[in-house]
Amino acid sequence: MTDVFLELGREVANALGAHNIRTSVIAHPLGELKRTEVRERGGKAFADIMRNLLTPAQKRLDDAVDAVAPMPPQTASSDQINDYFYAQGWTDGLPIVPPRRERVDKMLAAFRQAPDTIIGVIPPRMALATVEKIAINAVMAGCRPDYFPVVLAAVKAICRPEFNLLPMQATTNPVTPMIVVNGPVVKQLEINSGYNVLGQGWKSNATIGRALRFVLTNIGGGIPGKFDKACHGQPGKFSLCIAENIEASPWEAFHVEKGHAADASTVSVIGVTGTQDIIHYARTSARQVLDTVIHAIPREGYKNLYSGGEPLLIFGPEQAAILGEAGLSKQDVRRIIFEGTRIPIALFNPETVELMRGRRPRVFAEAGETTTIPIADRVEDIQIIVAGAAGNHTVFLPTWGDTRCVTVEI
Amino acid sequence: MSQEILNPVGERQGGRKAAAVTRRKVRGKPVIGLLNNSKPNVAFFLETIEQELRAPGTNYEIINVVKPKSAGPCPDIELLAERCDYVINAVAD
Repeated sequence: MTDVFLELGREVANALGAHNIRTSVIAHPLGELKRTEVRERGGKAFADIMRNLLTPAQKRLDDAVDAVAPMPPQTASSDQINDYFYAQGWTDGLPIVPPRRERVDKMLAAFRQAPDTIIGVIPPRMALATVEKIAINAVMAGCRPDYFPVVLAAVKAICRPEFNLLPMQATTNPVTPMIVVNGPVVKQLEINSGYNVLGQGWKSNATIGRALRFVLTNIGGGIPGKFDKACHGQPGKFSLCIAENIEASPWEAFHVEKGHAADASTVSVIGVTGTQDIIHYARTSARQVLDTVIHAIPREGYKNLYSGGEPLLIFGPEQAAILGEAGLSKQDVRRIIFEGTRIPIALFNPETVELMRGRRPRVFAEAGETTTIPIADRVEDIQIIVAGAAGNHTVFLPTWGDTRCVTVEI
Repeated sequence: MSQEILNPVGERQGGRKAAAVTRRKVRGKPVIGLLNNSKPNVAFFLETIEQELRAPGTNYEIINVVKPKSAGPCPDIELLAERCDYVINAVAD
């Protein structure tokens, strides 16, 4: 194990019950070294590895037990509570709403299940996301009680196995769950789907996304640098929650595509690694719009290329209208982008091709010694949402590859 | 109403102790599994370890397993559990 992952590796092993794990440590990194350096490092580590492997453990690691931090007294001021929570690593750096019992009870009253109901288990600490713990974090984030069912649905969604939360919490990638809300709840809670949809300005968007981040940090233990190993992270890790602008879409709603009734309120979670604006200057035909998208999608360096998954496009209303008026379905749009963004395999070095061959076996199996690589394994893996307002923009959001979108009803 | 300040940290899940495997007694030639998590250079690192394990005077059976997706489960985990006395899992980036 390289040194930067030692604490995380032990934490996960212990949380999963592998108390007797032995670790030999080498210096980070490994991936960027020349082969001769790797072999030299392996040769030097061998004796220590064998000693750890063959010598009976001197000390069994105990079950991971956290000391429960004492809480500030009821008389503590908001500033004192904020200072204490920040020092404990329980905030995102911005002020929080102190989670006093009275506020948490109001949040709990918005949901009919018992406070100790377990919604999921959050890695890497493998800690229980009970309704009450989620409510505490939602209060801290500034959520109104009527937002709470949306937060609970989002927690439920990220805990589904196909979302693959454990490595997502620990990876060096900048991935974060983006929440997409559909259905009647969008209007009821005034969740923004229009101007500045990925930005600031709406209490519901800002606090629902922030609450999910607090759940990941405080229940799951995703504290930056400790168990959250993101190299850079991204601004969306503060909060990332949008609604689909279905009134402006020529296509069926995102949640309907996922098998839900149009009048159902749903939360979808998508593990995105960032946002890239695509501006369409003087592009008035569907072909021109799609050409801009195809030319703007990078040819290397984002996770979907190496691991597949479900890259996401958010079309603004104007671009969606051009595509819809041309009679293109979402599947037509996907197919054109899928074919148009194929990348010559010769652009990659042999080691990268070998890595992709292991991670994207479907692509290589179907195409043999394929000469081009698509940005997703299947046409239908490209995800499309309509959101935003006036303007000639599309947003490309690469996803983390090793995760699938999950949609649940609220 | 109470002004008590509540702790946002979740309690750990219990009851996973069964996942801990007690090391069995090695009989005969020890079997060592080498688990490659498919991160870049891990294969070369484990190749070096394997060369050392196969050096003259040693007596190990080696089983190589590749986890195709670094961030996914190991499809051959049962094989490792059944066949191996020891497993070396390379974790790096």
